[in-house]
Amino acid sequence: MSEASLRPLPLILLLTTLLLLFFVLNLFLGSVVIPPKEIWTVLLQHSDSGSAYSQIVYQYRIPQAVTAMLSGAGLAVAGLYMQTLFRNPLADPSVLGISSGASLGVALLLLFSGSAAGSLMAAANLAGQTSLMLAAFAGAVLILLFITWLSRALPDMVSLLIAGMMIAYVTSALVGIAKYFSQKEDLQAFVLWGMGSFSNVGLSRLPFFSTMVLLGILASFFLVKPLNLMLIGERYAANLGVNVKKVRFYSLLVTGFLTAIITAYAGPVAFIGLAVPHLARIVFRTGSHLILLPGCILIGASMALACNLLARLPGLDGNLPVNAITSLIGAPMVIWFILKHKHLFHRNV
Amino acid sequence: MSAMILRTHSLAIGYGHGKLETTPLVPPIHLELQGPAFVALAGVNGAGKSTLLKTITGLLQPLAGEVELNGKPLKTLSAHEIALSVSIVLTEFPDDLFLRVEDVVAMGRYPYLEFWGRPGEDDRRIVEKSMELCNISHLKGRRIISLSDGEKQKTFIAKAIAQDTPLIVLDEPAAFLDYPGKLELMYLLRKLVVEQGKTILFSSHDLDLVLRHADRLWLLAPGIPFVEGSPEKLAVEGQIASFFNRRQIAFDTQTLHFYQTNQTDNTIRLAPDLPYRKLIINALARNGYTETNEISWFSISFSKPDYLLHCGEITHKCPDIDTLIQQIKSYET
Repeated sequence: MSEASLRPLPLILLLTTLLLLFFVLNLFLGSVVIPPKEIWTVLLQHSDSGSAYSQIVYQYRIPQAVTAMLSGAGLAVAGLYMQTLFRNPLADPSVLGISSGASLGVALLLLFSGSAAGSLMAAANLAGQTSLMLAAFAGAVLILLFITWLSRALPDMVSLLIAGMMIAYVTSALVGIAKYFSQKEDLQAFVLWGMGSFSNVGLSRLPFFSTMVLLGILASFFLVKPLNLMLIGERYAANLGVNVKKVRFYSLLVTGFLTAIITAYAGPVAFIGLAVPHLARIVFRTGSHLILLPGCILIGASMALACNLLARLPGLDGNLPVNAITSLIGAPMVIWFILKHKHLFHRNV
Repeated sequence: MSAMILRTHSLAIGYGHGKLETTPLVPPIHLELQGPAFVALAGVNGAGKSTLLKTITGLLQPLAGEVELNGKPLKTLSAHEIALSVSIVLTEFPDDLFLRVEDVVAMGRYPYLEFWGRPGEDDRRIVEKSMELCNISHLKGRRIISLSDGEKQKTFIAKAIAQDTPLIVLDEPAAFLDYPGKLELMYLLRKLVVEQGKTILFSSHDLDLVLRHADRLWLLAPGIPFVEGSPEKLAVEGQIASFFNRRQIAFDTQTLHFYQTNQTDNTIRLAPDLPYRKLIINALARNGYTETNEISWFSISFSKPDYLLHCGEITHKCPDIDTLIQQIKSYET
């Protein structure tokens, strides 16, 4: 037992180093090529001196890296808890329809603002961005409230999972209708939001976004012990003193909140929430949330930073959609990982 | 030193269906359980065994009446206090890929642990001891999904021991075990009663097993009042026969055995000194023949090394029981 509790430490250190490395790379590399020496100079000034390089680093690269890091960590945590809660390896933050709720919020905003004041997004100004995020957040929270209310009425997690998927279908249908009646320019804005990007938060909104995500991640630590017990089954957990209904409710609330805030600000980022918990389990070879939670935070943050890096490769004009990169890089990686560790999936070892 | 472990008063069990009317599965149950004891809850499938166990462990609300654990009303106990009073072992097992034997056993210590749920030195020792008691120390490090059903069962019994409650409740623990596995389970549970002073309550639809091993028997059948007592007492009073009343199945009070009543009138006379006489009766009963002391068409005697089957005037030499039965059957066609 002692070796089992010691082994994660070197891995945690390794992953932390990886995370720092990706973070630094995110500051040094981007579509605009800046000599590393200049970046050092800019970083040593500790604040935006107004020069072009300084502006790029402080206005764009740092907020973007922090956003990516927090989004990746938050989505991975949300995915981990969804998979434990539903006892389903295919569960991820989007199964409950919360991210489609965000899409609905955005679609409705574009539809109504478009018909009221011409095209909202034609001038992609700050006010437009803010209202877009608010709409996404409102839509996501609305669905979250509905889902948590449903979770009290429904008998078990399987029916809740089905209900969540149905909600996702209904909201996607509504999004489709809203899109049909929207203007061309607004449609483009919707498509852009849907591709996901860590650059939307920006320096001005970063403090709020960071606080919210950190609060969500912090809250998730309170669920470590009860969720560990849920691993052996809800009836066993209840017998060991866990209030299963309460744990379900708070897990839904925390993961839903994380999903809502991140989706609102970065768009519906696919894949990280589904894949990272599996990677963490394979890397740490444990089901214990005490280890998986920090593991998911580190791997999720590193993965998002790596994807963000690829999305803005030097030489590319502008950003590639993050959503495409996460799946494009992540999916083959997960398959490779499973192949390499396939012995772990055999039941007789 | 016996203690009142469990008491119920006018307990009505069943599932409530929201605001619809709720019908209890069985008439109200009054029972008292003094520990340590080895108690079996028996009944046909659907009699409400699981429902009763869920109700007395606080996983299900009673429809009416009261449950007391260790002298305190269950409804006044917190989830934490219940966790310290009764532990459960179910037939459902986790499917997590990386959960190991010692992890599961250690979960029994969770009610005693701090916020993060990290076990201390004492907890580790208790986990080790629980595993030793259940003879699963050699499984340490193995993943749960790689174990056999019997090994999983023992792991969860070790979890229950680590939970350190006076009462351990097992729901159908023998259901998926092979016969030696069932015996091993019974010996382990009895050891816990005798050596650890635990009170064990387990449900089973395997009456043969229950009658053979349990000290007390609780009988549950739909619509019939609950009865309890030693297997022998219930047998003599005819309770067992009436609880498991089926056509063509009868209960032998002498041997605590169920047997198939004969559809045929075939009788056979057996010499009193036959080797393996009981086995022969058993084999004959299976094939529709009962023993008689009257003069009969068939009779069996023994002359070393063969059984002799007398059939009217003819005598067949049969070296073993199989040929004996085959010979008898050859007359049927």
